[in-house]
Amino acid sequence: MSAHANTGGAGEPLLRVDDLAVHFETDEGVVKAVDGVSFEVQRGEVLGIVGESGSGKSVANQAIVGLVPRPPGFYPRGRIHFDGQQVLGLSERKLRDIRGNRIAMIFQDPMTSLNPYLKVERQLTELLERHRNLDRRKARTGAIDMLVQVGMPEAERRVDAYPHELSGGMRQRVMIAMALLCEPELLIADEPTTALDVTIQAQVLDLIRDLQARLGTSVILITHDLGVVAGMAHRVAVMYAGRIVEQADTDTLFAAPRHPYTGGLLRSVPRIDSEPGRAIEAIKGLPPNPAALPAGCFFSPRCGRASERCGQVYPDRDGDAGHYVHCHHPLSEGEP
Amino acid sequence: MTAGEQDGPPVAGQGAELVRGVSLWQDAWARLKRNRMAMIGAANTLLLVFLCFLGPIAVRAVWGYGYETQDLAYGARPPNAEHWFGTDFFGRDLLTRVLYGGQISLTVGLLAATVAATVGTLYGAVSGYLGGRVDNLMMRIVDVIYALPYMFLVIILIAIFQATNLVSLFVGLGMVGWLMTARIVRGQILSLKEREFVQAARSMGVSGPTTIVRHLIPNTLGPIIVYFTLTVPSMILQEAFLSFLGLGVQAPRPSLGALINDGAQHMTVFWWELVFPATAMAVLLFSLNFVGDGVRDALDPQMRGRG
Amino acid sequence: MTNAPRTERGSSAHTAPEVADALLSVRDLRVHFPVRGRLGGPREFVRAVDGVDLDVPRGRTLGLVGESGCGKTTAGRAALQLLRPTTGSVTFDGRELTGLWRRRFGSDRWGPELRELRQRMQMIFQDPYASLNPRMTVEGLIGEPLVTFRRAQGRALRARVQALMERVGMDPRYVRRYPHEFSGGQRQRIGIARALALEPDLIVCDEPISALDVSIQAQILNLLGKLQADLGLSYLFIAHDLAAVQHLSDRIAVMYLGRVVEEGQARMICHKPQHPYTRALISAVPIPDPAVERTRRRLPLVGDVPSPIRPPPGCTFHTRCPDAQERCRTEAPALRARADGRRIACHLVE
Repeated sequence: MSAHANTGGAGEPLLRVDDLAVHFETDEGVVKAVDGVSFEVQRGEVLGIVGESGSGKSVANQAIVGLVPRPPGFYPRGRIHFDGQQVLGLSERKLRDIRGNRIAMIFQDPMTSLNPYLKVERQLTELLERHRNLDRRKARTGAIDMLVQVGMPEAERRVDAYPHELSGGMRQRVMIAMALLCEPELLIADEPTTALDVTIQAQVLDLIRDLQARLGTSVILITHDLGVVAGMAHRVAVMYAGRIVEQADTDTLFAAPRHPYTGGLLRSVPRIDSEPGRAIEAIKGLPPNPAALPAGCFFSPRCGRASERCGQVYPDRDGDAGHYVHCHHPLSEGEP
Repeated sequence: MTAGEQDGPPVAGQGAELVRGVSLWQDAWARLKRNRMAMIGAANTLLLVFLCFLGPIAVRAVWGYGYETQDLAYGARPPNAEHWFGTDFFGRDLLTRVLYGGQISLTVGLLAATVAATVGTLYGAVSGYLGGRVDNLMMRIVDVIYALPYMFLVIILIAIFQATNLVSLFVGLGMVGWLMTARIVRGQILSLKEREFVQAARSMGVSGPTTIVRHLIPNTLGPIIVYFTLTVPSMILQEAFLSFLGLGVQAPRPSLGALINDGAQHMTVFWWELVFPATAMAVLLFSLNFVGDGVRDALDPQMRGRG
Repeated sequence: MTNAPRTERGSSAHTAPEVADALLSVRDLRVHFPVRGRLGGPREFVRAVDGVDLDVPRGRTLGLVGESGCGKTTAGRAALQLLRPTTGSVTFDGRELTGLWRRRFGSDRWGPELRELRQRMQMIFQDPYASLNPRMTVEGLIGEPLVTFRRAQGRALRARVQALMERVGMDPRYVRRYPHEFSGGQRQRIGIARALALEPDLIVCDEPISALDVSIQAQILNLLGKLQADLGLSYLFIAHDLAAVQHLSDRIAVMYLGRVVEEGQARMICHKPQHPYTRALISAVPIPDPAVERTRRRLPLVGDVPSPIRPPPGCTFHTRCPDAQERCRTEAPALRARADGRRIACHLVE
């Protein structure tokens, strides 16, 4: 189990994000990449965040670990509590103690996060030496153990390889090993399998699911792939143009989506288990330019249910914490 | 589809107005205009070009003398109300000589850089596009020329062309200057060739020469222009260096380099003979380099993905 | 490329049944790229495509799937003659294409007849950002094939381009805009319009949606489907996204390490895969339905794809196959037709 035992009271979420806003100063004006996002992650829970490029799903999570470049980025408002401690805007030194240690990240492209000049061993031992004060030899043993745990074939030999000598799947395993090395309480996986082939994707997802269950780590899984969240997440938040438009537990969200965008996404994805030639229904139009968001509900220009009001007022939250939606005309159960 | 032929160009007011695009060139131009240092440099360069080319003509028209008119009785005077930059040993007006020298230097720089850019672009484009053995051979030739001491080469070229007239000077400088352009262009073409849009053109049956002209060169033009703007001042400098060796423009014609050379010889006595041409040269080079840097920033491909 | 060694291993061809009325037929196609071996060592070849048979039926879609490095893209380009096949035959509308190449200036070029035929076979590329020349307007881009083959110029050209833009769902007023002013989906529409310009019979779609956002992928898939229905196009649809491929395809061919391991009706391949590799591949595709995902069983694949420079002897999949037997290690299975109309290359499938 985690070295940092459950210190918070029961029911206190591990991570609480409150009304987070991340804006960027650009030539075209202020871009509201994230604007008023709130969510919680319980201990041992997998939260899926689904959205398209530009929805702000990655930026919101970069803010948690203080990876938003400032400037041009800034936080006009919001609070992030990790294990009861406010972390938004914490100094870089304090953040470094949390990042990689208590909160770890996995990125889409393992090649960009691995140092090409360091052997696998060094990438792993560096973390152990920094956060765990292990000596070099113990760190090496720890590194090999971790590689075995993430299912790296021939871990004893691969520990002396350079990143470019490994295949994509193996690199992603090294990344996961690095992320899990310090037994983090929260793992943020940002499109961890997008660059991988399906069979490798399945391996990596199985690995994350397995480790999550075994170590009780909380996971935020950021992806555009509805299939990936369906098999992984306990709860799903759908983001559109910098805001969460719907949140529910996974089964409810897929079975009875309430936001027209969620419903549209589900109907637009072809499924391997469907009959060929089954019509897929595309959402019309394009995602909005984050520097020039439409008035009212951001999805209204693309929405078949939009009324006059949708083009004027951004809808308030409707529903409880278990399943809520921001929509003036939400879908009711069974409705297309 | 044939109905469209009678439609002609869409007429405004019929709901068929075309939406004009903003090309990457216009984008770059807008960025360049926002760069204050580059605009100051450009204005300064234009001013200098204007002065250098019109100044000597005006002087001849108004006061009736030129850069070569000697007044031995009035030799080596310091700056005064009549001759703002003073006169040289032969009593020639230094201001006129500096302006005329600037004219020569600018001409040599521009023409040599043009020769270098043209030859280098064509050579590099052909080499990169053909690839394989041809490319290998063409680039080894470049390597060999590059390995020779280039001043030696210029001196030989100037000797071959007989006499040190202006033409042989800029051909000589250009012939050496194209090497780097050729390498840059070849490298660009090699990477562009693998880009999907070039493959797409090939898949549609677009011919080789058309591909070079329509797809490859326009996308290499950025680096070529940047290199060109930075080559101009370097060519001016090299001409000055050649003049220093006595291989540049021949007397009585001055170039900035030749003037500085003369001035340096009498530096301890006639300071103005060194200070004014040297200052003019420095201002000119500064301005040109600011323009070059600005152009580079404006065309920087990394800026392309922005926004 | 032409002096590549003849392969010593069993050929999979000649057992393939003739598909009635195939527009494009590929038989025993091989594309081997020379690589520089170790210094002084023998010259080696990457066997990117190593004996592939494909048939694209007229007016229908053949999906070509496989993981990265399996040779599907190379196979598509060699079929289109964008690169010269090492050996094998490609017939388009009854005409053999591989013999129409000419050698000039030490490199392979299309002969005049191939150049003419190529107009009827176009391609849509994966990356809508890289496949459009950033210096050209939409008019220049879509009009380029028309200009190249002198089909139209001036006002007629503009009108044709605008008609094509409407056909792919773009606002024809944007004819003078540049690619960087459009989103990825719109750019892909430009690429599709360009491929349609010469009114081709066959379009090879190389991962046309994988670079696009989820909500845009469906738009492009539907557009491709509509264009096929309207214009009677035949597609060779190359992608790694099996769900998208099954949506658009009538038949699917699955490639592994340069060869087709299974080919058949899309529905059969996706719902009742037979080859062990296809089974593992299909089982790994996530399904956007938590109820289904919970009950599914994945068939895990161990290890990595072997190097295409020295593929394993026998069945190339035996190093990762859970059911591999002695015979699989020595004898390469042929792609054989089954009673249900599909073709499978496996010793173990009866």
